[in-house]
Amino acid sequence: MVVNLDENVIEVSQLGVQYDNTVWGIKDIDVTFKKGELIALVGANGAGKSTFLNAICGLIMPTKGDVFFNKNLINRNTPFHNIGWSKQTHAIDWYLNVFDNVIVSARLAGKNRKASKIDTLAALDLVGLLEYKDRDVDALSGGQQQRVQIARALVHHPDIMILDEPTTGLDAESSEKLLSHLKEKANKGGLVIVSSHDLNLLDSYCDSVLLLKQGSIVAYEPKTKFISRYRDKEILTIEYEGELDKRKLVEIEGVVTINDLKPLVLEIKRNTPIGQIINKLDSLVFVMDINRTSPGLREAYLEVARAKEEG
Amino acid sequence: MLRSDANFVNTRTFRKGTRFHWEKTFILAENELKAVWHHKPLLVNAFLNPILYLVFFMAGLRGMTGGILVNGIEVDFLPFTLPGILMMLVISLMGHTVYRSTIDKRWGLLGYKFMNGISPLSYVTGLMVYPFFVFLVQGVLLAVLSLFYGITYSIMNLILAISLGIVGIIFWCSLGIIITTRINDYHQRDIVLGLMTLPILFTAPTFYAIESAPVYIQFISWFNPITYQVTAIRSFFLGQPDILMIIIATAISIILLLLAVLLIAKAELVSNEH
Repeated sequence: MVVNLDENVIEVSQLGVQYDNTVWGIKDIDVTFKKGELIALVGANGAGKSTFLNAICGLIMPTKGDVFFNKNLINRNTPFHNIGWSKQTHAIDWYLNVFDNVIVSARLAGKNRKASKIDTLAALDLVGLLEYKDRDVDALSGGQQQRVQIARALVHHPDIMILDEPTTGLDAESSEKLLSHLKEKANKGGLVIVSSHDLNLLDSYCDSVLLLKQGSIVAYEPKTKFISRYRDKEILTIEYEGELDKRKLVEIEGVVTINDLKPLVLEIKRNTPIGQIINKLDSLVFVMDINRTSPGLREAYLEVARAKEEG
Repeated sequence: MLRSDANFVNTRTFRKGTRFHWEKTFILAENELKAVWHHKPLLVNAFLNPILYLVFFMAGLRGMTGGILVNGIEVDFLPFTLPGILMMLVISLMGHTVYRSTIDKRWGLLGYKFMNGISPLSYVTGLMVYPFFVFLVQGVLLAVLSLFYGITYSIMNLILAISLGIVGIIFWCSLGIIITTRINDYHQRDIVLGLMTLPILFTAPTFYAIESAPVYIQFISWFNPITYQVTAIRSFFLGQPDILMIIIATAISIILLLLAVLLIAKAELVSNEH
């Protein structure tokens, strides 16, 4: 159920969280999240993503600044009534089984016992855990435990989803299914904020990108604009057999950066003829397959992060 | 900088003003009972404990000990020590509360519960439901078993004694929650609990008359809450209610409950356990 969200769902003003009165986890964050968006929160380890999400949810009291939620969406005494939240580490009750871990969320959101049971079974079905509903959570794999958390975040049909690395430990199929569901929620007018290191996956589903570095926002813009920073480059992915020496690749004209060695992933200038590159490679290894693509979120992210470092 | 627009709510207010809510307290209590139900060995252990204490400890010592003088009246060892056993059981139930609240704190469930509208008072009382339930069964079990040793009580005195035991649970479980909020290190917490239990149990008139103890133990017993709790419960078992002790035992439980509520309300919601 997605209600009519007002345009601005969350407004963050001058937000800063300091740890032990010394280190700033995040600082001076000003941002507004609007309805109908799936936002990818990206950044290196320690960039402040989890701190930021916890501060948004009210789980950390900001050292300075404020976070405002649209009053029509949030009851200040039961904010999670309309927020689906999952954290990086498993916020699971290890004494309860799968079903009981999930149903409590629906019950606390105010649903009666019968409706909660129906919604719990549906949520478990969505995350592929229906057949494990009576299992103890500690008997599940890490990925399945993650899915319990996700089911609990989804079970009460919140309009706002704030998920910290929800795809960690999930297999490719489950990750796609989850993101697809979240995208559908955003398309219906909800707000979804997802932090993840799986940039290729986020690339297919997110509308906007928020890049954090050392606790500050480096970029927050629509994905297409974010990627356009990278428009002068293309990606060449080459499958090969044999051993490659990275030093010999640097000498090839047109190659800007070597991202990976196996398969070989090269950044080249847009519209660079690749004949010379292939000829050179052919003299070094046995080339099996070549794929030329436009850059995506991952490449743009690396580029922005790199540029910032150099700056 | 506060946003002037009245259409927005600040997250700083998320944890303020959450009121006690019966329905949410019941949901939490149900959760706590389910948690134990999924780990039945805990229940078996809880119900075996009083039987083992009575059959092997109390009955064994009873044979080598005569009666104990209480207010000038000689009392059989078994009814004298029964309140002490009850307090031992209460303290062991504190361990359960510590463990459950630690899980909540460690895994972020405390924040999850608070953000779902569970008030600090609901949280604290919800965590006590399992200890209440277990203690009730343990108390009845002890009373029934002691019948086999020729000890009888009036039903009313038994109900009042167990009720006071439940007041004791409020004290010790509140203390458990306070310890959880103040100590973030698993090992440190275990050490504190381990070191605390034995001296507390044996510097009070649990298994002997305090008048027969060395002076320093008698002095310490004045500051030991178990002194008041065990004396109050014993006074019911012996059919001579000690009003002052009952009032003190109840008052310290209320104080600890309020303190636990106050501290859990201010607890960090993002784990810093290690």
